[in-house]
Amino acid sequence: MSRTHDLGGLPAGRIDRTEHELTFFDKRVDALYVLLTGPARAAFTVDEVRRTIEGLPEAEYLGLSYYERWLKAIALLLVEKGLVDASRLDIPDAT
Amino acid sequence: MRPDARPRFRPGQKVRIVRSDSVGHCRTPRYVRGAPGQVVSLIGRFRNPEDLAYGGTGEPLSPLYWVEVRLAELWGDPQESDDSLRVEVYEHWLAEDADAP
Repeated sequence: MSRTHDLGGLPAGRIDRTEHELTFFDKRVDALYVLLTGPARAAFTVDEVRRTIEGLPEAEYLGLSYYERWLKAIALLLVEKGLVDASRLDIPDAT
Repeated sequence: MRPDARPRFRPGQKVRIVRSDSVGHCRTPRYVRGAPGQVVSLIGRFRNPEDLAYGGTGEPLSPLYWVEVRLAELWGDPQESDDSLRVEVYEHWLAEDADAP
């Protein structure tokens, strides 16, 4: 497992402190996450989302935005849990 | 339900953070693995995140400790200061430090 997220102690350059507003995409992904992890659905947990994000290959982890990573993890978990057939989702690989 | 196990470590005890590769979700960052430290306190008992990450119950609850690690142990310290950091480590990632004086 690449553990790309496990940056502690590694040289990583300056932290980009640029503020930015959440985009509509960001908010939709967050809403999807809340609905799927909420008690009505309980499709998966935040722990499983973390594990899935952490398991993304390094190029994807670094190439996707924060909420893009969440969306990819949500899609992968829906398939993993058998809730959605993989053929019905277009889950592109990051290049 | 099983009663909670007694915590293995006590405040002030010298410990060593286990050096091991992990598979799957793990809360022990790589940079502290293998480092000697000292238990500051028991934070509490929590469901094991390594199990929760795969849809498990995370039970039995696992003791979580604050462990103080000297920066010099992690990265060397040319100024030979006594600076340290504190990191939260689950019990199964700690061992008694056999080398401690």
